[in-house]
Amino acid sequence: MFTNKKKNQMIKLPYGLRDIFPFESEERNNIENIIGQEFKKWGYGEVKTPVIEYTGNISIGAGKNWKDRLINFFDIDGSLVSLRSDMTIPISRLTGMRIKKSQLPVRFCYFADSFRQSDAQKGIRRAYNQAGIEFIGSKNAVMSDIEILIILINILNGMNLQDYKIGIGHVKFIEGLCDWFNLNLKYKEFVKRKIALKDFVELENFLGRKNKSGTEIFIKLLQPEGNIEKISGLISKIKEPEVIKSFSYLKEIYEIMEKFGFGDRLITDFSIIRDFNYYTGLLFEVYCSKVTDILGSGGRYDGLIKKFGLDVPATGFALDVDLIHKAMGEQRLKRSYKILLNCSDNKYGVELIKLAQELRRSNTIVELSFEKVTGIEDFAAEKNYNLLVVVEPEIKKVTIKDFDKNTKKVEKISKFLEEFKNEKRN
Amino acid sequence: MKREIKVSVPKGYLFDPCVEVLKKAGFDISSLMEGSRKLFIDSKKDSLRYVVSRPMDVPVYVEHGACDIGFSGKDVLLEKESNVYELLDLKNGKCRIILATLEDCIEKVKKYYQKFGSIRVATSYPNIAKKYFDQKGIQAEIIKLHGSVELAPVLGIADEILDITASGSTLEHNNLVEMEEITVSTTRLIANTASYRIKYDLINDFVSKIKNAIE
Repeated sequence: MFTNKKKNQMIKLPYGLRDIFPFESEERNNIENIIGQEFKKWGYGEVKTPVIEYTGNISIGAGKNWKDRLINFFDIDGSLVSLRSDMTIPISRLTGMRIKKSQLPVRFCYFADSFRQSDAQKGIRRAYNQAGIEFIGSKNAVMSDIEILIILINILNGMNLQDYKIGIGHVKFIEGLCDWFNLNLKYKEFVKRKIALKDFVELENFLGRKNKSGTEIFIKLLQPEGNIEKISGLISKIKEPEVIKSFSYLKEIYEIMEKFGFGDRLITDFSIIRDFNYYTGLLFEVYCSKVTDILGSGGRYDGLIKKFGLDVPATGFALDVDLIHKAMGEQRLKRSYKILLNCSDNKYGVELIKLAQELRRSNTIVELSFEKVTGIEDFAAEKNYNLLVVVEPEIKKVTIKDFDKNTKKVEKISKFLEEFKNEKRN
Repeated sequence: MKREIKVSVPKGYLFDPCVEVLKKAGFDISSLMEGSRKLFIDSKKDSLRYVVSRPMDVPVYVEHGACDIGFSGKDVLLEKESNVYELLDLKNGKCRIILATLEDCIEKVKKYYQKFGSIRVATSYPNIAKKYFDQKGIQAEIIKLHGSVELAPVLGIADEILDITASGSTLEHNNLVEMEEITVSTTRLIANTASYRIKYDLINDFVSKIKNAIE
């Protein structure tokens, strides 16, 4: 069943990691281009941070159990270091280290791999290629949240994703509902954990024991809902300040987004709880029916950068490039015109490269072939070249096979160059 | 495109209770009852597509989005630890997850554990077994079997079994006695993470119909 290889030829990668080949890279670059253009137009500047950070720093603000998900090493001096597990924490660190209050607000974007430990048995990936932004230091919470949401929607629309939805929630809402139920800290944690585990059955059983009549409303409020007015009705029965405050924040966001015509993309969902503890306000996640994982997520994290020495509000999101790629389907990238230029006579290597330079122009790829290839026409046809140019001995004439027009001719080099330059190609 | 939801329904002992609930909730179940071998059973009237599958596969189908929602025993959910929403307890299909051993072996098992510091457990739920014994601090050698687990102690390949039991008759039949109850399992309505948001209106509607039927 398995083809046998010699023992020293069994080369493996650590689980959950993989290589990417040109075909995939090309499509991913296209995705990153669409994303990058949008980031740039809004004034976001790209930052790069080291892949390795001190474990102590990278654990700041992450959830209780997050340490189990870090990939750790020992540095040469014995200190514990980790691969970054997201970009928000490293960017918060660099903001705390390097940015002064007078420079605020700052807008950063990134394209980077992050690494998280996963269950080896399930074979889940450990590298996450993310594209994201962090908008740091704006005092206008609503408008800065709106800014990143609009950027997010512009990008998703640019990807031609048909049926995506953005679930929006608020960290403080669940806290408020717990206050309404008079739950202590321990029970609050229990409720949050059950929501994070998506176990509404046990949550409902637990709440039912605390407050039978309120349970129905509590559970109803956790359901996703596209019509925010419906939630308003339910909220009116709860006079808990935190609930009212967080809901009206969300409603404000919703109403502004509606003015942009994006209302139908939003779903209110207070059951959104992220793995990271650093979020303090708005939370959102992107879903799409083609991919069952979360395509991207983000939110407000006002307290995080303070832990790195600068007390400023911040908001941002990250998109999962792997998943976006899967969700997009056929990309129909514009193919470059490809020429295979062959000269098997070693004497003329320099002339060959010079000729190739003249043929190259925008959107034309000229690949060199220095060997004698038997059946070169079939080879070129199979590899999807548009044109095959074989330099004849003494480098005076070339044989030209045009696969688009299905013609073949022999010409002087100078004439071929002239014709090639004059020819209009899209 | 007409919007529909795909529902994963388990074969076996949970099939009848699930269909019963669907019927009570007012869904047209005639196509489900035909017992055909088709992979999909469409119910045009309710805009539902049923996928009848093995109980252990229901959470897998739902997690990976082959189905939007499904009916699954809690035992399977505990074993698979699938990343799905657990929305409702149907309170039917009740069974208990228990530890059992041969009637005349309880003392023997205890002695064996004292002497060797580990026990051999046969089960179709290796994940539940591992978690249970880890939490108790007992070193257990877990032997995975695909059914007929109660034979393992009789054949002498395991000291104990971890299995589900509804009436206890299978245990009795094989001279097994219950040592401990680990948890109780009932049927749950589960949902895919993305579908739960994208088809929230259809799913919320489905959930409330089922909820009314079981109350």
